[in-house]
Amino acid sequence: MQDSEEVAFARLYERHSSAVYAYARRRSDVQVAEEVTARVFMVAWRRRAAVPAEDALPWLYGVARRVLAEERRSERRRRSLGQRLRDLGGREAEPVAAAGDGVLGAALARLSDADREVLLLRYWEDLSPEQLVVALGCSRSALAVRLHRARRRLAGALGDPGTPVLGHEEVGAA
Amino acid sequence: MSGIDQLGQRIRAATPAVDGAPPPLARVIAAIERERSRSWWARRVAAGRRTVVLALAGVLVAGGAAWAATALLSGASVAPAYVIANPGVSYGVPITSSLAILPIRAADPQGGPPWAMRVIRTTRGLDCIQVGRVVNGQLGVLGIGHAFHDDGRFHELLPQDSLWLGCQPLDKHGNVFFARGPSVQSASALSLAYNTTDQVRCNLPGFNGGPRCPPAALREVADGLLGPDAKRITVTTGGRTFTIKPYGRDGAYLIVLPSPADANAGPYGALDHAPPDAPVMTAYFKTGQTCRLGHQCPAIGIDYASPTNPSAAQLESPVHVTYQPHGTGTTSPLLASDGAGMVSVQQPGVDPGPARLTITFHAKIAVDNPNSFYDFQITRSVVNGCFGGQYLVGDGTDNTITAGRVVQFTIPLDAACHGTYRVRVFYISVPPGEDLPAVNVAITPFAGALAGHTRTPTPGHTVGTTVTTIP
Repeated sequence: MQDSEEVAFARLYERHSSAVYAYARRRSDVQVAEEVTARVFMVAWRRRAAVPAEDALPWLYGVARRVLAEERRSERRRRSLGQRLRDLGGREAEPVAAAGDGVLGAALARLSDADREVLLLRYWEDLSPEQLVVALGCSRSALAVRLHRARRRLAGALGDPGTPVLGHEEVGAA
Repeated sequence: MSGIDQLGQRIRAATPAVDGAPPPLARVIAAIERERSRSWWARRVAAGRRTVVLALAGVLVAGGAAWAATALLSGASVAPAYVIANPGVSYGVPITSSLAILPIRAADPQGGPPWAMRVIRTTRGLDCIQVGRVVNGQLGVLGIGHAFHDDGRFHELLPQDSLWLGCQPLDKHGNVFFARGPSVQSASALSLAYNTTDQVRCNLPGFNGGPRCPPAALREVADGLLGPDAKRITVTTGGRTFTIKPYGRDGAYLIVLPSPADANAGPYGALDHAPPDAPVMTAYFKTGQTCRLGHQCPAIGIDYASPTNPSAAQLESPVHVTYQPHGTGTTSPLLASDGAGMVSVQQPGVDPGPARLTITFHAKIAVDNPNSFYDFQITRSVVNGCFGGQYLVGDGTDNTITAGRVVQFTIPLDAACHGTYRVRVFYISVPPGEDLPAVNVAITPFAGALAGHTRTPTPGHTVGTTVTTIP
């Protein structure tokens, strides 16, 4: 039987809301994570014709990424002028909660949002390259470059010259 | 283990544990319903949209990219793929004598053909607003701003497209009230509402959750009808205020402003984004009342007929339920008449499936306006494998029904959905222009999708009840 749109939506929520919430929670507090999850699925309802039928989660992550970015922009707008002026004095990296690995968390925090996101989607959300392409809205080749550069920058931020991945990947990419 | 794996493993090992849980589905649905039920008619329009699909027929590709009002080539009309031909169904059909463009124009912030509007009266007692840009006395949309593949041509809007731009019922004196606030629209004048965003193909990179148009391709547009008591509208935007006088007996207004700089910054593309510096539009009335457009504006100067309030004796009719374990496999139309006085309502968007429940009753009270309808609700057992929850509520009839006709609802069921079904058929007459929270909750189509949903509203006036057991 073909589901009605509403039933299909309920199933989509049942299937993926925990993953979307986890995505948001790893990057924000509980309250924001709940809000982001709700907004992601509101977008999914409005754009239900565009939600991939087979593997919707990467698409939902893509929306979540935007919703979270918007949430952060709103938060910045809510800050006092003084805070904004202090921000102008030098951007302080937002902490990244990397469980049990403070050095990694600090290194991730020093990356650009784009670099950090591609790595976290790959390893925290465990997305395949095909899924990353959907979530990030980029081509396969662009993804390979982004992933490669993000790894390289993270390794640099970790200050670990012994990490062999850098040389191998650069040679492979050249 | 390779170096790639070592780095990846290190990141993966540091994946933070997650506490808390996603919000309950009911909260998300409530938020969606709040959006959908900003007005009663928004909900009805949204329901109708399921079967009315706007298509851009035969779009002409190429053409001059540089266009001008005086030398604008004509392209294909904007034509809906589905046209309601029955004057008694849904919104009805446009009345031929009501197609004139109102003699008001709004200049576009970037020049080109001016904006205009017309009010189309339908056979079901509705007035529908249609907004577009005017070229040679015709209302249409332009192939700019990523619409119509930027073909630079003029595409005439047909009256049927009024279905997409909202309708409101008339009051006892033929007046209408439709106080719409500013919303972000395509510069082409093609409405971004109701999923027509698929027709405006803005392709700013990096967002796959919806179209994302550059600000130059967007406008902030407000249009509406404030009725015979409207006096003036003040518009405050960008630090300045100006006043416009509503036109004619309908109190028509049309305001076109540049798009806010961050109108495309939201996660929803151009839609639903309400920047903090959105224009403030305040309507003033002869009665001394005021309201802010886009917010809750009461229908000032409008005298709606009282909703029908029939007695139980006038309404009561036996309700019959039949169960078919194997359907025909064919998809019923949304609504069809078999020529023998029977109206069949297939719940929209649902395939009949292999099993179905059919509810049949005689409509003793006629439905002669869009604000009245029959509907059903079902309470059933909780059964493993039967998706849809304990409560089912229909979307209601959406057509004129003469007294004495047989009305039939068909509800597809999962094969596992056995047990006892308590069916209630009811009749509702809604005061036009009002939100009725109890009704909105009760008739939400999501009620059937909510497993564990605990609300058991009994809206409207009961026609009849029955109990049936599905083996």
